[in-house]
Amino acid sequence: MTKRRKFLLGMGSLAAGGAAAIGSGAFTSVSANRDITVSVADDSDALLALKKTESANSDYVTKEGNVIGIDVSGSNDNLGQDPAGVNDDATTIFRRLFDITNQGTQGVLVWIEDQPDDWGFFADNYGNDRPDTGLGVGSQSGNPPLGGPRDDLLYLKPGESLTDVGFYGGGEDLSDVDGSLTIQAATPKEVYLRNLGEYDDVDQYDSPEDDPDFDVQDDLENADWRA
Amino acid sequence: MKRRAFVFGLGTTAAASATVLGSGAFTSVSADRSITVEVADDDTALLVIDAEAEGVAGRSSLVNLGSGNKQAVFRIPGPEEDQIAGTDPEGIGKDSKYRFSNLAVLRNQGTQPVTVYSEYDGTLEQISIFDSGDPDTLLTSQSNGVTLGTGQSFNMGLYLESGDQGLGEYDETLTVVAERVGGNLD
Repeated sequence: MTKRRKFLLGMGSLAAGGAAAIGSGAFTSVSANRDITVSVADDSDALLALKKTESANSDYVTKEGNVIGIDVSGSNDNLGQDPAGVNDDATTIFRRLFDITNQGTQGVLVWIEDQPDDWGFFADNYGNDRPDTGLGVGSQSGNPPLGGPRDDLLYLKPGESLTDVGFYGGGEDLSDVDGSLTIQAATPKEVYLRNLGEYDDVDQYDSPEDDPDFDVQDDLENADWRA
Repeated sequence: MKRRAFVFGLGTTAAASATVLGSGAFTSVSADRSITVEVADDDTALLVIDAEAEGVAGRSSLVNLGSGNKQAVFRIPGPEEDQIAGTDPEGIGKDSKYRFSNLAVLRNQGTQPVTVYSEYDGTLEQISIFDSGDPDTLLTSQSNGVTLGTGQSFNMGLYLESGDQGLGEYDETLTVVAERVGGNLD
């Protein structure tokens, strides 16, 4: 009996269509509750981990309620000299702010969306050279104060980190920024399926549909992706 | 109670009421009818939720939760995440939207087409199933559900939106619904 009752409880809507179900042997509906356990983690420990660096510039990175943010203003208490903000009519570079680590099980493409006007993120940190690897989409691609960073999606294997992500920007008549940006990560296939980026196949096919090897993971990973 | 009686006792009830209404002639009937209902594991049931066909790191599994039959269970992060890339993620971040593709195969093993979707009313901002081949469409209602003909299947993924919840582990329940195409009015 226990078993039977269990069946009914698990199929709450069956009764509504009971006559049909018995008459035809069809099932009309199933409604099944299933358990999902989800852990919400600190940004630094998450599947896509976002972690402040140890550098002095990481003072510009805030950590409130387990979520990182960027604050270059008088309200950032981490800044010992209490600056009120960036200079107008200037280019300002903040290197080595945070790391992005893929702690998932598949390789992902990483990029940043909704970057504020006049500002852009980059993902390289080579000495005093100006950053030239853009990170994602934003106005920086058409406004290249630093030599025109590419707005590529960068590939991270499982366990790999994009270290020392920084941001830069500037210009004349700068506006205050008070908003949010979106850090995105998706497998190449997901980028394709959700039409998140532009696909430039290594085999020179015009579109993935023309490429007989499209589903080969290696091909997806090696394609040149642009947001 | 009524529903249970309706389903199991349908033959008896129908016969008796017709007679009673027509003539009121007999005093009682006791008619035994056989009914056989077998309860199956999720990977062999009418609505198959095969959580072992897909998925990595133990994120999806078929587990005996005490009833004797195996049910699909999902855990994010999976208990074996560290076996894959040597990382040890503790969860999804706050204010984040995650999609986990290919966690299970959903298959219609009934006799007519059904529309599959999920319902969630829990602590997190949102949980929904989606078709891994169309990750943008969250299957949150019948109107945007996936229709499966008999024998048809799709690779199910889970969309998780943490929202503003604090750190910790959340034991949530997702209702997976499969409804006959056109509704339940048969």
